[in-house]
Amino acid sequence: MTNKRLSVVVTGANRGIGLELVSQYLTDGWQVHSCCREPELATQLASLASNSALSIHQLDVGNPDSVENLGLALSEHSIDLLINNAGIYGGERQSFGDIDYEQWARVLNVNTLGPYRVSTALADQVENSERRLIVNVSSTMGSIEQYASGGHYIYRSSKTALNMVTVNLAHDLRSRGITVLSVHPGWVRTDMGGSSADISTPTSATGLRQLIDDVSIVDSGRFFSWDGSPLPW
Amino acid sequence: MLPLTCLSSPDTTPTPSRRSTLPSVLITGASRGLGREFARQYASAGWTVHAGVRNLHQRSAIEELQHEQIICHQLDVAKHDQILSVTTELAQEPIDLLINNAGFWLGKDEHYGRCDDARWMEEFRVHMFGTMAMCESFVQQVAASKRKLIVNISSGNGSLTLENGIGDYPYNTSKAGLNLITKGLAADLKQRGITVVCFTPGFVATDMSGPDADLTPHESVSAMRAIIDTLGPEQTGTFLRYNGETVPW
Repeated sequence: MTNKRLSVVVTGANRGIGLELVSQYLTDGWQVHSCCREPELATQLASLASNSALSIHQLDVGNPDSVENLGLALSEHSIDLLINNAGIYGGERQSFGDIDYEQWARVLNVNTLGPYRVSTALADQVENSERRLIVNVSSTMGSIEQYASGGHYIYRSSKTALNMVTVNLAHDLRSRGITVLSVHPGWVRTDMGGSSADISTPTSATGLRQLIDDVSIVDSGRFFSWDGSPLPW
Repeated sequence: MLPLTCLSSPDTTPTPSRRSTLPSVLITGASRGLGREFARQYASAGWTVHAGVRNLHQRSAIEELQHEQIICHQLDVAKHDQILSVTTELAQEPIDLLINNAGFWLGKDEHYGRCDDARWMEEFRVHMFGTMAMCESFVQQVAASKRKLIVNISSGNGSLTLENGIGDYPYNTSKAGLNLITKGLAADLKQRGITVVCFTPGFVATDMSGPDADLTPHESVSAMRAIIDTLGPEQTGTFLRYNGETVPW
């Protein structure tokens, strides 16, 4: 085995947890392929670009052509770790009696079909790597077991459906040695999580990296919190 | 046999005397399979049955629903205007039981690397959006009834734990999403006294599953009806097998 650099693909890398993961993996010496919808507006990501281990790709996970282009751009690379982090919340109209159905379709396309698309587009490159990991950034808001309060139907159902994508991908990719997980990043102080959330982005990303280091194929198809604890469906 | 009653406009509502005395059920996807069997059995039990069918002009499907207690409505749950028009027709009608049964399966080809985006989204529109839109539209009629029940027909494929039928991304994700919706509705509608559950009907021989199934529609629906009779607020938000066993999420 050569001591080649490990490589990671991070979607939704322009801010929040995605940006922090990019930063931490760069510090750790990984080759990082970062993806976001509008690279020209991703100033914080661009500020990390002096590091030659970082590449920035335009990617809209909701657009099949865009995902296909990423697959072509990375066709010669091996990818140790794919982090499907890109996701959207879907606006305010998610309560019973006031559901925005078109927004719901849009959120499912990005949050649920997006990770499926990117995973299938990059599965060969992941298979050809040392670590062979796919991590879907889900949320405990997608846990049916923990859903006691109602509301937030759009976001929650997209993450439940994403967890089902994880279970199905884990099954379909097991014979290729690929581990697939759903993870809950914690309630993180980001644009989505708000300023009163529990933990900082560095705390979340550090926990997720530790979890990612610790898992193996026997964990494939499971759901973990950022601190490594297992979560119920 | 009496002539089939099919409502095509809001001005032909059933007589008030009938709706005040008997429980009523509204069933989506009632032209075949489990939906048709629910309609048949509830009608035989004396309930007023509102049968939502996607094609009111498809005589063969409608004729099989011929029964004096059954009123057919044009209802494709993926079409909000049709939901609204049935809601208008039934505005004054208490609905004791709403059965969100309409569903479909894309077939064996929607597997890894071969899922069609538009068809996947169609599964979401019918199983998830359709169920939610029916509940949003009929919540007052259900709340105004005696029994106050909503039953969502899900599938073992929607269980993240059981991994039934694994590999069918569109169907499995849309049924898991439906289960999440059921849990949320249970919480949101609790204050109105409405009980919401989801069922896996078992592996039933219908047009969807084919002939190699374990149960007939009659067996599955009879068993579910027996469980539905016993449902109350303490069961709300649960995922039940047709025989009443709890299914893991």
